[in-house]
Amino acid sequence: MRKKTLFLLTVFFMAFSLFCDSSEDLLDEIDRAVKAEFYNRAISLANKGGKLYPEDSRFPLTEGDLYASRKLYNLALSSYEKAETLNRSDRKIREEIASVLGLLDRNEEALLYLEGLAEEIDDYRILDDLGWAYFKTHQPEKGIPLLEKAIEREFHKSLALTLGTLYSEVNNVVLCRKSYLASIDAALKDGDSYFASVAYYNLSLAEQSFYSYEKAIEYAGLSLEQMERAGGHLALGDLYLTKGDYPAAAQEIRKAAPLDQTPLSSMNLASLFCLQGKLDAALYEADAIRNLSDDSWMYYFGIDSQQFDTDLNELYRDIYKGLYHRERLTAVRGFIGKFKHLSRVAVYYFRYRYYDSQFRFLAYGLGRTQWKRSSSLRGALTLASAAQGFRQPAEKYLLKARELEAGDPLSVPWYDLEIGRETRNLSLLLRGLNSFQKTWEARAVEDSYREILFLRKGGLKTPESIEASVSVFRQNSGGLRQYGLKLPLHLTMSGSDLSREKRIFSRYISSNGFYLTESFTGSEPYLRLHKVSDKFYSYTISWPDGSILTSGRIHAQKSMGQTAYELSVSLAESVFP
Amino acid sequence: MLLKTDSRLIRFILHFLLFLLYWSEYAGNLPFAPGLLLFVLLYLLISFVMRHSSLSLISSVLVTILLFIIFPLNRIFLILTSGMNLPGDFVAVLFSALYSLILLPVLISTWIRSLSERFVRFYLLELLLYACAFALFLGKRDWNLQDSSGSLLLTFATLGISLTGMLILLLSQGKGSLCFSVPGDFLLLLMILVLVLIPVNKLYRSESVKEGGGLLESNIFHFDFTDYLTLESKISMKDELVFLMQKEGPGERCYLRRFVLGSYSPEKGFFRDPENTPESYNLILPDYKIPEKPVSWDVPDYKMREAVEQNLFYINFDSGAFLGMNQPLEIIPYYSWENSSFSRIYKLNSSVSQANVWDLLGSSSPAISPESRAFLDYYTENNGDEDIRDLAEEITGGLNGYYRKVAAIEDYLISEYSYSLNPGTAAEGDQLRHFLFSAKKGYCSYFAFSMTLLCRSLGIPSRVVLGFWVDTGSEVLNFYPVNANQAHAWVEVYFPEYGWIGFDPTSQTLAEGENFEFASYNPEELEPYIQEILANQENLIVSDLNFDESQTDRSLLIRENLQKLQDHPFRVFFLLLLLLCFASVFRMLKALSPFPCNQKRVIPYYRCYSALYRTQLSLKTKDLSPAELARIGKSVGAEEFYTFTESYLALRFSPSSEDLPTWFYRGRYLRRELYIMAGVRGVFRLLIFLLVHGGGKK
Repeated sequence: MRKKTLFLLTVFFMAFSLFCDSSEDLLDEIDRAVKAEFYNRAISLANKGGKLYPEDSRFPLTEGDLYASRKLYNLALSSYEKAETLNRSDRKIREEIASVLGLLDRNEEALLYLEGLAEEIDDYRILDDLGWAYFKTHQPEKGIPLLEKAIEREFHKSLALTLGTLYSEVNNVVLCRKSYLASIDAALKDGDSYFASVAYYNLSLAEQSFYSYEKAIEYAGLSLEQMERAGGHLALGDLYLTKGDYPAAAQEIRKAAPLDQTPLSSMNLASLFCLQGKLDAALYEADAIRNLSDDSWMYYFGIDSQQFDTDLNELYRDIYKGLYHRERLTAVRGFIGKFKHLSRVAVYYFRYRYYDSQFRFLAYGLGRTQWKRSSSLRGALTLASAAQGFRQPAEKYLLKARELEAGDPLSVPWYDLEIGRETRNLSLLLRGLNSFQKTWEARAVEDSYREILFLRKGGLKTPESIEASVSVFRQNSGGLRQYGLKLPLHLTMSGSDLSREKRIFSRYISSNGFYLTESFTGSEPYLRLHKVSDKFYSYTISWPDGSILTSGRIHAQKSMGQTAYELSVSLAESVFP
Repeated sequence: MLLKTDSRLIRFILHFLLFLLYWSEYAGNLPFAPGLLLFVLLYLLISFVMRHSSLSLISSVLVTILLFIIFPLNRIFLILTSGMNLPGDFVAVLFSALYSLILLPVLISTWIRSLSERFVRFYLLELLLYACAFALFLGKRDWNLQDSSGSLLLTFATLGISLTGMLILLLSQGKGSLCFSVPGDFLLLLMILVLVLIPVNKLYRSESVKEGGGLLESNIFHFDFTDYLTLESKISMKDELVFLMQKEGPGERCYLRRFVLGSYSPEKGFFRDPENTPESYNLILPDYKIPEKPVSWDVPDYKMREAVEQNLFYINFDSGAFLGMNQPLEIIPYYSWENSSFSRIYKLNSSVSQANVWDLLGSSSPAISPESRAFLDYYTENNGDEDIRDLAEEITGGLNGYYRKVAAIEDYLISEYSYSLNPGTAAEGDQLRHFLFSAKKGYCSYFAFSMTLLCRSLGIPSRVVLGFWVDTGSEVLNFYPVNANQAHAWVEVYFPEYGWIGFDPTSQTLAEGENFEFASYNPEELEPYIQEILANQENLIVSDLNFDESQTDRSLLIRENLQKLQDHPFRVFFLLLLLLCFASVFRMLKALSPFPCNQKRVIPYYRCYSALYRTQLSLKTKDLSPAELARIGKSVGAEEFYTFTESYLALRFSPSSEDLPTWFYRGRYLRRELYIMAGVRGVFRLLIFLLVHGGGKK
């Protein structure tokens, strides 16, 4: 029946096309063809209309609308541009062009159209889009006065929202809060839950960037109260990540994933896995993100394709760097095992360097644009990250960023950490470590301990280093091995005369991500190895307070070396992620 | 001769080209011009260090490593730029980023070059390097060669450059000229290349089948379905765009058939065997090839069929492979437009069954008659497994009606089993039993395989079908993008009044702990193709009605033969071995004609001849008198060469009876000496002498 209807429709269209000629008739027919999902027919008719009425801009405009509705933005743009050449006075066409350019991440070109439109007409939607385009092109100095004047003339919640975003770009804490809150009030009065949810989400992000985490978490919750959106969960996830509460962060990101139309939740999940040392899972997520190339979602977020590529390459860099270090700190046995191990080390290292190079070039390009325009703080931080490991440029841009944030004392420990890392200055790192908000900035504390470990000479030989290493491990069990750091353990063996065995066991355990202390320092965990019989060994790793980290038993293998190897693998698998 | 002197230049060009390939494929966001400049500078620097160090090869390699460890250029650059306080504060950062990517390939290529220059046998290592580069580019796109023309071009360019480079190096007769003869040793090198590529090819093909969900296989010559169904223990699904289908009207899920696997044997499982099928040519289309001109087929007049038109645009699929909805009625192939992105475009009309559940409920099983006997036997052949038959009877127990039984089996598989890309390996080796009775999870092939065998065990004629399923959710303006991960296996069951009806028993429930999503369509990827079709569709020309079929046959023949070569690489190896033997025999016959006067002299004489042959003088020596040879030998300053030639001539022409064993050992010793002593310069001077003065008697 359905097929017959379709057949009759086809016949109808064909017959109709023979008899109809006026442009109105053609446009009606295109409309009917679209509704019946005969798109090829609709496009043919639009082309026919374009040929019969070459002066009529409605045919390319209709065609453009059809393409845009199917996310075929390049085709839509080409049709709209055709329509524009036929009718330059039609504002609707130029609005569509600006919108499509924005969706294609061609923000500079969209900006030109919007500037032209804003000169012609005082329409708050155009001004809002223009303000957003200034934000996307890192020109808050142009966007802020434009929107301030527009709001003075007439308040609109969307203008206030965009203005808040622009203030956050220039790190103007007071005005940013004020604008966001004004837009939220208006949205709540209008009963516009979606808008209020978006505004609360933006405010939460801004508060996080101003280091007021309580407020950030409160606003993220309010955003979710207004509407269950992916953004609210992602903001919460990010806050938990900063707080070092990785399970809670994972929970929030997983809640966001099914609601999310963008790859942001996958990106956050991959970053989280990477931080936790779950590098294979992180790689899986990153690969899934890389295979997506539809960038139109970026238009609605404060991100562009260059920023996204930079972040993705940085993520890959971190994953491969972690894999490289993890592989280095993995025990191997046998010739083939060693060969494979060395191959993996080489491959991971090469990939790490590859993504590091990609990241640096991208970050440099992006940072330079931001720096040259008026997004100075963002630009300085991007350039500093591009120059990581190169003291002079990294320090220069970090100092500039610190100057720009000089008004906020809460930012100081962050700069101490970053500058201390780049200048290898232990006292700065220690100062930063002692000034962080311990409840909210646990991840930064973890980073600080790690950097201190890198700087302290003598590796894990001093009690301070051992304590720092244990602190990192307590915070994040995946925070050591992927950075090339070892977990200190104090080994005791019992059951028989094990002097020979101890040497072999120590060798394998040490090469699998552990550092065996010669004497107990008071902070590192105990590894108790007991020879139950000739067939079994039991092991227990416990904290000094007696709580058990892991325990188990292994079968004795053909050789002592093999047994030690199996034990070291078993220990590493149960202790590290 | 010029080639010889410029062998370093040739190598540099060769490495330069390989670097270009490497850079174009992997540079990503890194700039081209600075990368290239840095490559050239580093290459020349390392070459200079290695060439002018008076140390041994290993020492010079160590020196270069130390050079870069002790004096890493990027650090030097950093120190210099910080000292000079340059405005471009990122110069060192960016230089370092480039440097770390370029240094390793440059070091490897220069070391290999240096090795092959110093030791003749390292030519082979150089060849292996090129073969590895070839394999690397081959595997770059996750085992799929044909998904981008750029990648394919790159692969063949690498192979072409490698082989040409080797040929040039051999012809140029570098330092190792005394060990290599052009025809024989080039064959030898080809054999090594084939030997290297055999495991690569094997790995590539097995991986490609796994990547293709156990259904698709990609190789150098095609990307198509396999002729038989394999049940892999683990597969992955790629989401490369394979083709576009255009079908007007509201979208509905449909299946495009590629192969019908009707034959069954317990050893091979389901496989394609068109020659033994009991159905007519029209229904099975034995070759499954797209004809070069419009063709229509007569099909039986089954109930509830309607014509459905499809336009297919192949992007990354074997351009000769026929795909279409069941049952094809008419095909109109088109010529593709100039610079088209599509390897094949055709329109197909199919007679598609519209029979619904109510229609099929009334159908009866096929009547057994002498005419239908062969048909039924063929499509009900199974492995006679009692457990499978018991399971089929358990599922359909108490059900009456032909369709009800089929539907019950389909429902059972859908509801009781789950979808998995990692069904695991059967302990006893029988993957099907593992799926049916223990793991209860698998991918589409497992489901299709099982349903067909369950149906057949009840005497219901059925077969496995391979092809693609088309997702209605991906429709864009009546275009349906089809990705490689939409390759599918399903089942067709024969209904006497309605023909072959498709059933899809694959479960939609994912196995526990597994996460697999079909990638949603990507408008950005699709858009250029749609744009191209819309711009050119109206001007499509029907493929030539007077197409010369013999032309197709010839190209097809070449393609098929190449395919066979790839299927059986050892044959290529043995063919080359045979050629090598022929070359040796030919050389021997040539050397021994006319036959030496004393038979006992044959072996020492031939050894001397071979050694001389490798100096490229053999053809000339026949015409040279001993005095001439002595003059040449003296002029090039190679006394050994002179002595050796003298021995050769004595053996060849002297009628006197010498002590042959003495000649033999002397010849062997001299040959070794000649290898060691005759340097490049000596041979070169000798060749120049021959070129200037000629080889004839004066």
